[in-house]
Amino acid sequence: MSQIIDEQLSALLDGELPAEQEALLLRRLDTEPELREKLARFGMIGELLRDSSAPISALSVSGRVSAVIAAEDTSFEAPVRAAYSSSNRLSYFGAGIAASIAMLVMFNLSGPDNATRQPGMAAVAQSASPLHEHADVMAVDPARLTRYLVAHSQYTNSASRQLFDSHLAMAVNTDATW
Amino acid sequence: MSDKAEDQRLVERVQGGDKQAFDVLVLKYQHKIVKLVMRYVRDQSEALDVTQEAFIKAYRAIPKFRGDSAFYTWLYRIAINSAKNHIVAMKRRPMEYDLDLQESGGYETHAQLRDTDSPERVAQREELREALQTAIDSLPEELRVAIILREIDGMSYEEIAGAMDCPVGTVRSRIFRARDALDKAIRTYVGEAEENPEA
Repeated sequence: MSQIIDEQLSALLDGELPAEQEALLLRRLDTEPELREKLARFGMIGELLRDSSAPISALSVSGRVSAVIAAEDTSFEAPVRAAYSSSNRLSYFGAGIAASIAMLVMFNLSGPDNATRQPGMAAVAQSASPLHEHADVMAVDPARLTRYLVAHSQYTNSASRQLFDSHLAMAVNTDATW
Repeated sequence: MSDKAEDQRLVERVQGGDKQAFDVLVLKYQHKIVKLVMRYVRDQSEALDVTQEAFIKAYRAIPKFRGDSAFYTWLYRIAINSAKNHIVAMKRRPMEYDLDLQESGGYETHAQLRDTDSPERVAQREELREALQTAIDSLPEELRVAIILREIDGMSYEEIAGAMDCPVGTVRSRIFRARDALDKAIRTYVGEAEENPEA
């Protein structure tokens, strides 16, 4: 059994372990320090083969780093959020588009008078009107719509969400529902 | 799987909350990073501290890592910055000599002037090198070839299987058996080094 695990350690180091075995072995590394030490020595062997001046003392680094990280109560956000742009200009731009779409949909569903008073939006109103036919079926909480649009917008941060919410508050005050 | 691809897989695990996956990345690159840092910070104890700090910085910043560059390239930059910051911090303390770090190579000159590699450490490394060489020479040829192709040439298991005309499973077994044999040969030297890191 030990030899099977040691062989898996060797394959893990090379990135050649199947995903499910990798997950299991990583969990074992957490609780079995001798496995971690062996993995560290396997790594060091490679370094020594490539460069005989590789420092042996480097073996101690992983234990020190691991101890610090284990003590940190870090919970990363889901990976998809890490890819989002943090540019404020893009955040405001994207939130602005989302807010505009929400407002247009809500204003247009409030009735034909609205389209008359705001001729500039006539084309959009026409394209949005089929939604009105289903208004009685699709009663959606505007706050939910906000959260959906913001969560699926690529350019958001907390500041732009506040901007969006303020636009939505204005839309809600028109008593538009769909 | 290429190094970049396997590292990216581990990075994604870390971003998903798997701290052990980061441990594997540390194990993989700790020697390279210590060696890199020691170009700037010659004192081994300080180099280990700076390396530890670099890895911890990398861990905390990993949610922002988008994979535009290879993980090692990104880590390399963090380590260099950590080493340079350490030197600047040391410069603020009273020192026997003065350096203009803006000169090219200024950071590395600092390291050379502070060379504290002890004779014991040099001798230890030489013994280890000889033990490793003897162990490699003693390996059966198929194990030696497999481990060299993997560690020196960086070939994947599939590529090695093609080169050696054997199944991937056989390659995996040969590489493991080679590592196991080398591990047994150098274990006593490594154990001594860990017990006396300041030697």
